[in-house]
Amino acid sequence: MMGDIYRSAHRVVVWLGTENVPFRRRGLLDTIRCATLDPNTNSNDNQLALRECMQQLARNTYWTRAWVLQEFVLGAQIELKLGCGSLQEDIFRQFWSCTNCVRIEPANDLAGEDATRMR
Amino acid sequence: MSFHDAWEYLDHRPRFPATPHAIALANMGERSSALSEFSVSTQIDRNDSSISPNPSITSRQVQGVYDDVPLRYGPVRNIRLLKVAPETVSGLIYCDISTISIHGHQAYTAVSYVWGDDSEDRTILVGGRPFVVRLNLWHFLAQVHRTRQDTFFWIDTICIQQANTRTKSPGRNDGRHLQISS
Repeated sequence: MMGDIYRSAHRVVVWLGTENVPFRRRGLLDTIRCATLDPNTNSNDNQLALRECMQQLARNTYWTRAWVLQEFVLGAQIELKLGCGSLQEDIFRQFWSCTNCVRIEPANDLAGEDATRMR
Repeated sequence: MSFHDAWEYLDHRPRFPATPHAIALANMGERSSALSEFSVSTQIDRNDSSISPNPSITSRQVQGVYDDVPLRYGPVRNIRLLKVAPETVSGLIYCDISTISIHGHQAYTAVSYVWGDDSEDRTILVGGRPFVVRLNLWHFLAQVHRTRQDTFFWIDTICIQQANTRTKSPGRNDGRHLQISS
């Protein structure tokens, strides 16, 4: 049933919540877009920005959900939304490949507790 | 499931689940959800309204919303979809709710989000009836409302009759399991 619903969806929106203090002033998803599309992707500044974005994104409680996987595997075109920012899947894929050498575990000791409490 | 797991799957995502783990998870979800929905329908058929074993304002309101948009069970699979109205009503976010065939041509957007804890709730109107949602979902609906998105959404806690799946799913009584199975 749930599989059908996600499979038949035109789009899957991943709602990451609100962003009370916009990341690097412009908001996390906008920062990701700019850093990813920056022609100087390999510059040190940009690498730092990408890494910080990755860390910030990995900290989001959304990823502690047990049921994320099904929605990702089955979902149609994915769009991330955080506060008033949004990011389409193709840009996110580029961001992901820019940063795929970086491996950051959610450095949050509360992750387990959050997983129980939040979902 | 972590951030990296999720995106690694996305990175290598075929059209359908490819790994045994993913297939097992997906099948588990389909079975348990189908069971829950079936339980809901039998409950409604037998008992009409006022059947909540643990009556509360919330579950009565929820019951009313779903009475207006029943899901028919048969060869054609229906789901409920909602749309956020551009206007508020009495200052509350107003959602229209309707049923469509899942195999029809109506485009819709499925929403994936964290339920969050129930310490902070907000009331919205669904089909004209008060409906209580948790804060994180309310923020999403408020964002949709602000940006005037004319989109059909499928949102689990509103489009599935959660209050009754909780009470009617054997062995799945605690909130955590309910949430995972839905």
